Amino acid sequence: MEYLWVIPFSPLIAFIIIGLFGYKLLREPLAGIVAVIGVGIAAIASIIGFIDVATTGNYYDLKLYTWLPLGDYKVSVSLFWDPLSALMTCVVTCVSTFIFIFATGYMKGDPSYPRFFAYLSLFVFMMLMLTLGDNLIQLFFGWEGVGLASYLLIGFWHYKKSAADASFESFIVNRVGDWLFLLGVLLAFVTFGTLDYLDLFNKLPEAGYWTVTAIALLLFGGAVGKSAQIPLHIWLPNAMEGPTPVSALIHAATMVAAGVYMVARVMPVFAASDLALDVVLFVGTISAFLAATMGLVQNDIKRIIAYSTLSQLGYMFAAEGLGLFGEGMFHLASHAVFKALLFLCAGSVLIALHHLLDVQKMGQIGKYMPITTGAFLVGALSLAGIPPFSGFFSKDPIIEGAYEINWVVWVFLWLGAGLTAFYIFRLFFLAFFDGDRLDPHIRKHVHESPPQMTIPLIVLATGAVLLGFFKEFFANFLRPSLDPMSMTFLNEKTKILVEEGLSRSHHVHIHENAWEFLVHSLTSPLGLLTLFTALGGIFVAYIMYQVKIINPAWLTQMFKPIYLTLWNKWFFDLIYYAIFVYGYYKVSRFLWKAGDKIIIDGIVHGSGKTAIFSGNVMKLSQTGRISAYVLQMAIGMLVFLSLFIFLT
Amino acid sequence: MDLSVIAFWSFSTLAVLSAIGVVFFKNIIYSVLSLISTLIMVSGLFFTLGAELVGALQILIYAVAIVVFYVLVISTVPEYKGKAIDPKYMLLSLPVGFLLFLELAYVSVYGAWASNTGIFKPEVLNEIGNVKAVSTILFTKFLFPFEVASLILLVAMIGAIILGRKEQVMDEEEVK
Amino acid sequence: MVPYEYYVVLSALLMVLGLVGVIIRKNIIAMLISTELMLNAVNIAFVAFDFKLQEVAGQVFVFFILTIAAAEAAVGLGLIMAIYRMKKDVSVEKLTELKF
Repeated sequence: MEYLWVIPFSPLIAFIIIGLFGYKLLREPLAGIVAVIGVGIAAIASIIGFIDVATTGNYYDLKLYTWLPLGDYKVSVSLFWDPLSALMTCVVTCVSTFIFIFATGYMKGDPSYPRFFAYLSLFVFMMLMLTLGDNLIQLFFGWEGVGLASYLLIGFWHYKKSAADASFESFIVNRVGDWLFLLGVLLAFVTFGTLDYLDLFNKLPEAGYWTVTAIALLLFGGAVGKSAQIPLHIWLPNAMEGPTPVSALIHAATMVAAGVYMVARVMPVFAASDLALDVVLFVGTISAFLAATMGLVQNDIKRIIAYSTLSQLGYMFAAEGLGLFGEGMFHLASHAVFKALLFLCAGSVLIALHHLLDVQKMGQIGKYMPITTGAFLVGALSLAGIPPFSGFFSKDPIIEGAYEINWVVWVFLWLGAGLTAFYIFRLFFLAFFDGDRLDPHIRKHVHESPPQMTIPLIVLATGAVLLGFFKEFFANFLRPSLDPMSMTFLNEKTKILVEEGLSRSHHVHIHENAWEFLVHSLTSPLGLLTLFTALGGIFVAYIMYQVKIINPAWLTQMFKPIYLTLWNKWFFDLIYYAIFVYGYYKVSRFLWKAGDKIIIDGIVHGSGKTAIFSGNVMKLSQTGRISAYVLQMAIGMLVFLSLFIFLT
Repeated sequence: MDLSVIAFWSFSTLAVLSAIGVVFFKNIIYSVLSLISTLIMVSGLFFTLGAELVGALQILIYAVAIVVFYVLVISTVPEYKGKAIDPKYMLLSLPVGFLLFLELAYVSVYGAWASNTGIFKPEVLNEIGNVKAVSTILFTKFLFPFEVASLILLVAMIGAIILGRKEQVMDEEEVK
Repeated sequence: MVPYEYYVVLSALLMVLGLVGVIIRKNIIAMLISTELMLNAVNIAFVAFDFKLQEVAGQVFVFFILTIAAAEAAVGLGLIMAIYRMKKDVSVEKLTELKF
């Protein structure tokens, strides 16, 4: 399995090559091609590794290099290749490959073309370090690395103030989460003396319940920041200031899913603590519902999809909180595909419309861009959870599982599913069909995108259709990583501990076979309720925005307080602004006034003024009279002679 | 009363009185004359201490040669018409000077001086004479400083000539 | 014999008188004359210490001081002549180029 080291390092080599020679030698097409080759090699290697794991069911722990000896424990750069990391790596590399290909078309003509691909390759390297590490330090290294790449790419068009601000916001908000995450890592190290996953899991039964809970909650704090869950979600919609392939890759498919992956990765730690799972469930549910409501009224095409990302990540966390880790990871995989698809479609639309973002000004572009429209429809149906698209097979099990475990959670997730269907089809009808609101000047130039952009759309759309039918395969595939009884690397005590932790989901029975699940959903009242909710959402969107039986403006007037609450995103931004930004500003201002102005400036200016004042006083002694100088000399002699006499 | 004591008191009193005259006489000629008086009295003090050579040199060089310089310059420069003494500085300098005198006297009298380490005991001096003793030391131990002193005199002479002459050469050059 | 301390105190007195003279006189020639007083005070001290220590090195230094005093008088008076030629005055009150 030694060839696995190619996976993270081929994007790194691509990054180095593009970073060093991007502007001088490679320039526009070559830089993109190098990046695609780099990530393509990683994708091929990871698929080979994936097949190996799928056929043999083994796991591999390759230590490549001892990085940092910490007392008895040595932090190593390593590859941990088990079903979970294999799945995540495959998702990252394959989705990345298609997005890279798309980006070669999307970024055409940008003056910073090589820089874009250098950053993207760097991101993929960091993401793979994150997924492949066998210890929390390497995970943290990748965690910070993807944060850096995200910051660089959000602010890629740094001459736009909004983009620069958004990159700062994302970096700063992520710092809050990363700080908690680092505390969690340190607490784990202090408690267990090791950070390798396997040693750490096997030492779990020795630690106290509250210690484990604290570790889990701190780690989850990092996940909340990185995966943009409430209350640290505010950066993700603003992160849409970056180029659309970045939104697709980092802020939809992979990086934001890192939090979900991390929780699944250290699943035994979370399973060892009821409280931690409850917190994950609570945060995930709230995020899933609130983000869906926020998405209802947005007008920015990318932000609508960004809110749906928030919402879907909430579903994944809810699944993990419910103990349904396999379903959560499956939803991650299918979400990565259809959300990347949706974003790439949005990117294709933006290219055609010259970066017009407001859906209220679009319309009727469907007939000019058939492939994009078709692909978007597939993605939207998948997101809405309509069979037989992949979203249905990955999201509905979560909702059904929630019904059997906790009906309050189910209510929120169910309502969220309806809202999801509504807002994504609101976007679909507004942008692709509906009336003639498009600016005539733009309309003349609307055209289908070039092949390097449409082919990834077609491939991803195919994936979004087909992926759901591999539900059983994925469930069996992930079992050695997520089902405690099948996790061969755990010892017996830990297995029992984890098994007890996940007992909340033991009575849930979800059909693993896709066909059985489909049949079950179409026959049971719960499945039909969920399905008709989604269809209802689509139908409401249709009558509001396509046939216009209900006027949206009239509804807005009717429910003005609700509308304003949603429009202002539940006032999160305002509250954060009031507390943190304004509070920080006030504290800074106070320090500026008290510390800088009075103390520091006082010292600096005071020393200058003292020098001037004493100079003004002392210059009076410079009378120019020889007599005066001699007198001063005599006084000096007197003084020193006195000192000599009285001190000796 | 011993003759040397009478000599000391008379010489020293006259020296101080004429020094006060040097400082306070309004007319600069009187000051110079008082300076001559002081120098002669100091020379007398040297004789009471048995330093015949420097006593003689004091009169020859100081009281004659150097004072002649001053008289020459005073005769060149017109008579100074202003007040001789600045009262403001007198008020300031007298207490300083008084304190300085007390301290100097204290240091000189009660200072931890080495005692009687020299080889020129009175018997020796009586035997070889003061002139021979001083000259011996001057031309052996202090030969190099002696030569340097002659060099300084040469430099001072050249300097005085350059400073003192009228700048006719410069004027001629400027004319050219 | 008179104790050497008397000579030393006399020397200090002449020294201070010379210093006061330098400070208070307005005529620059008078200031130079006062410095001669100070030099003489030093001479007395040298000879007095010689007497006390039974040495003659001090008298050698008196000899040097005489030399230096001659040089100083020559240069100093030359400077005074130059100043007089430039300013047509020998009062220190007019020589205040160093005033602030």
